[in-house]
Amino acid sequence: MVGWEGTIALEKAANVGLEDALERSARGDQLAFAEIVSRHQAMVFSLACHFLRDRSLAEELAQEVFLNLHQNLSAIKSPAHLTFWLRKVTAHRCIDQTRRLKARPQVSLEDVAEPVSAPDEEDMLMSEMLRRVVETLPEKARMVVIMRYQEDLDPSEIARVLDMPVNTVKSHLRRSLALLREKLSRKLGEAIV
Amino acid sequence: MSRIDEELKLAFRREPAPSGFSDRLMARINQQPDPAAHRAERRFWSALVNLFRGSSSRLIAVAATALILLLAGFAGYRVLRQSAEKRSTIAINEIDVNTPPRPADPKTGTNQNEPNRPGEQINTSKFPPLKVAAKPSSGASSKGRRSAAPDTAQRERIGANQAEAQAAKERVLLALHIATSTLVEAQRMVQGDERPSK
Amino acid sequence: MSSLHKNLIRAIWVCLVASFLAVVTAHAQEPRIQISHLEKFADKADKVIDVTVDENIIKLALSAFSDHRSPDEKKIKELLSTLKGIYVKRYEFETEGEYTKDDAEMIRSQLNGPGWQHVANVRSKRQGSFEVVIMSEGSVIKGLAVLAAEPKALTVVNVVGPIDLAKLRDLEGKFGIPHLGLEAATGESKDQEKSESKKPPQ
Repeated sequence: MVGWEGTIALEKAANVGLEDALERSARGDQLAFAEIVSRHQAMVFSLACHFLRDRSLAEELAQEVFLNLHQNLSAIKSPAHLTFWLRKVTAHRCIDQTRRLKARPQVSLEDVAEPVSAPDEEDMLMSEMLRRVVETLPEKARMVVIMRYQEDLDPSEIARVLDMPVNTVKSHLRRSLALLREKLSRKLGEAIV
Repeated sequence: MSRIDEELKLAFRREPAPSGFSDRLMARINQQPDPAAHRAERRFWSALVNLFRGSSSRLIAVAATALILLLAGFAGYRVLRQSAEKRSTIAINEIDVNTPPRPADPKTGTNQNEPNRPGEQINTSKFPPLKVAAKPSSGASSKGRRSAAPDTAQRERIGANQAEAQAAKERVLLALHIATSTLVEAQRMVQGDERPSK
Repeated sequence: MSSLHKNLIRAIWVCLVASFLAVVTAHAQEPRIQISHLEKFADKADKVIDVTVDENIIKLALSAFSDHRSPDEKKIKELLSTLKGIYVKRYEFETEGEYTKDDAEMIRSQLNGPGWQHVANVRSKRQGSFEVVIMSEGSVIKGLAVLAAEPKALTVVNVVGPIDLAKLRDLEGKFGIPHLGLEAATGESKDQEKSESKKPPQ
């Protein structure tokens, strides 16, 4: 809105609304729970979708996460705790799911189609290339990268969510990025910074 | 931010959930019976039915117990009513809830000074009516109206009341601020006083 | 069936229909507008502000204000004591076109209903449309609503009164209330405003 004031006050208002919804849903208010779902479904679904690279599996997993939430609403203390809980449960379920499925074959970058001249398509292929390379990373490293770039979490927050040491998170990030740069540079024939 | 960071952010930006996601989820939730509650309910009803099976002496004993419990409950209710009436005439000190809240913690977004459940739907009827009297002046002697020291339970109740009232106050002021700010912006648009957007 | 019986049944039907119409008309004159249908945008929107303050919350909040602490606090308590609710819904989207004209029309049609008067209405291709409406009964403002339909945001504010605009103006800059310019809404001339401001503070 033009000249909108009090952004912090408005975010506080949103938080107050969510706290209220949490309170009501813990008492059995289905509408309040639906509100919570609608506010967080994009986050949960995207985490699963980017990790599993399968929309129907991702939807199924996301639904299970929210079903689990529905049974554990009384344990959620605040909106921040809710976000943390959703990220944690989604991440762990994704990793468990992958371990149950057959290992995905390593994707060679040579299989990816050549980028075409139109810049939008080039960007799309770059994104797709990155996603495919990330898909080949080990589960924990993959989740670290997704948490970092989808949720914009810093290493200490990722460490809390994934329950691993901060240095391990940093190491995963460093190695994954190095691998990505190397693979993409070889493919595109230019240095990727 | 490096190029690869930007590309990764673009590649892993959040996507909306498939349409109908929440509808399907709520349908699943509604279909699910609550197994724990269902088991507990069955146990409860079968125990209740068993109470009335058996000999007449057992039935008499059950009836007598029920009657005693009923009378005890009624007597207890009378005692509570009387003490509530007494409490309602006790003058208490003015509630001081005007402490400005500390700014929100930027990490969690929560206000450090907020009571535990600030957004709670409050049922005001559960609290006994309290009469608020003016603070006695500093030179008040024993002659003036003395506030009776509330007991611990009443103090806790007053504390809970204050916290809920403070939370409601903050919420109302926030709503008023948002509503009036919107009005000001609309007015500025009407007057052609455009401010640069954020 | 005798004619008396028929007339009786007819009379009952007329009474029923008349009371139904009376109820509908009375309801239509309520300053509360229905905005719950906008909740479908909650999952699409990038940012959601949803504030609902009803009469119960206002009543509870009033106990946290004191008549004795300051005259301003007494004024805001008086202002709030007549309000029945404050409802705000704001949805901000990443791209344009996330809501349709029909969505805004569902609100607008309520604001064009009986009892509502447009105080301000501006439309701009770039900024969208802004409408401020009030429902008044004589000199009393029973309700106020703002609809802001911008390219990337939809905002609805509904304050259910009665609203004492004079008290609201007196509280400018306090309790988070910004400086207002509501001469058009109250219909007071600038001369009246100036004479008001010259009065000693209460």
